[in-house]
Amino acid sequence: MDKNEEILNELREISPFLAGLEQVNPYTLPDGYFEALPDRITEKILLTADLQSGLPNNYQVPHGYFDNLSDKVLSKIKMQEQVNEISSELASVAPLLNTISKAPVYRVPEGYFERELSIQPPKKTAPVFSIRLAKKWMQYAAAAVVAGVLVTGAFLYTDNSELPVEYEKYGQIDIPAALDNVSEEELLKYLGNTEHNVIMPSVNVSAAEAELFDMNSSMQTISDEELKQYLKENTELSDTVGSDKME
Amino acid sequence: MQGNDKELLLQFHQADTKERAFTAIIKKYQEKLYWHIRRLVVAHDDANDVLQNVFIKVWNGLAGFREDSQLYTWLYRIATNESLSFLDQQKRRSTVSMDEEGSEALTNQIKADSNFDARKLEWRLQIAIQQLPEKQRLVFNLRYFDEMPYQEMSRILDTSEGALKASYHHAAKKIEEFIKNY
Repeated sequence: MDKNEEILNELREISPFLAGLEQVNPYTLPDGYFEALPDRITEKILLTADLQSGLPNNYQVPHGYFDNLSDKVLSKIKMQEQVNEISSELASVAPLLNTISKAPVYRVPEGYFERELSIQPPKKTAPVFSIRLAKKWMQYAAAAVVAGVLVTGAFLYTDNSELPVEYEKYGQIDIPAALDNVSEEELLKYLGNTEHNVIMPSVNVSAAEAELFDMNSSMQTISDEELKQYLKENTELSDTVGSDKME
Repeated sequence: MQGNDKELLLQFHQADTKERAFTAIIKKYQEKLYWHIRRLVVAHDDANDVLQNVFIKVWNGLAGFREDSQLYTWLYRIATNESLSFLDQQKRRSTVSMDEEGSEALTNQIKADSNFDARKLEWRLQIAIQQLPEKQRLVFNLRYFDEMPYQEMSRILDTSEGALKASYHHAAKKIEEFIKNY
């Protein structure tokens, strides 16, 4: 059975209507399309092949050009972003400044940057004193002075070197008995040398207390009449004072 | 593989006869491939673009072509894939994603043809074909117009012969129904 006949029979079984249709191609295409197509396609392929470096390329790139290309491009992009950021910042502050060229207005002698800077050695070498060394010594000296002041101050402030007087111990000594063993000559010598060196608590006795002490000792020598008289006078005085206060 | 195709492939693998062999391949298959593509994409300009892309791909891939399949089958496979890719791109460009809406666009293109005549059955048939789902459309075209055996079609579309027969059956029934009711 012929292939076409096989397909036709199949279609007759499925759809006799379609099998009975005459196969007419309703589409049209430009005249001579298929005649020119192979050349057009070949041309296009050769052009594409050229572009895809299928054929030898006349252009050359420096050795290792593509190795660092991505880094170069990225750094350029970052630089551009930075410039844009600066420019937009300036645009918000002073837009006029963005319109002014940043090209240098000053000029340098021709070839200034290309010339190598030659350093001539000095003919006579003057002695050089290091300022740094003197400075260092000054710093050490100042530090020593400050440390001394601090240590002395701390010592004076915290010094408790004065020996405590053992009052209780001395209070228990039987002075009269002890004095019996001391010769008169030694006592006189002692009193003469240490007139003010009395062993007793260093309590400041006020003038009023000293006066009171004198009065007590002198009271024994005063008679009753004199005392009464004294009291009378003082009572009147205190009354007077009290009345003054009341008034 | 057809004897002539084998010879053309041998010539293609030799540098001095490569271009000549390729031109011969184009001349041999251009019309079959063109109409296969044209029925799918409808407009001539689109068919021309797709066809040229197909042959560029053939040029680039022919060196690695495995000769265990027929050149004819391989060319149809490329043409089919290129046509479907083109239609997908068209859908994306026109923000049309639904298959039915894609069919509508192709139907409109048919109606826009200067020779279109709705009274003629051949035009109704073309409109009916565009109403089919993509797979059925392909199967019907390959079987009805190109008279392709299911075995070859199976290689092109990666589908079993049984499934292809079923698709063709459904497609023919739908087309008949459409034409009768148009």
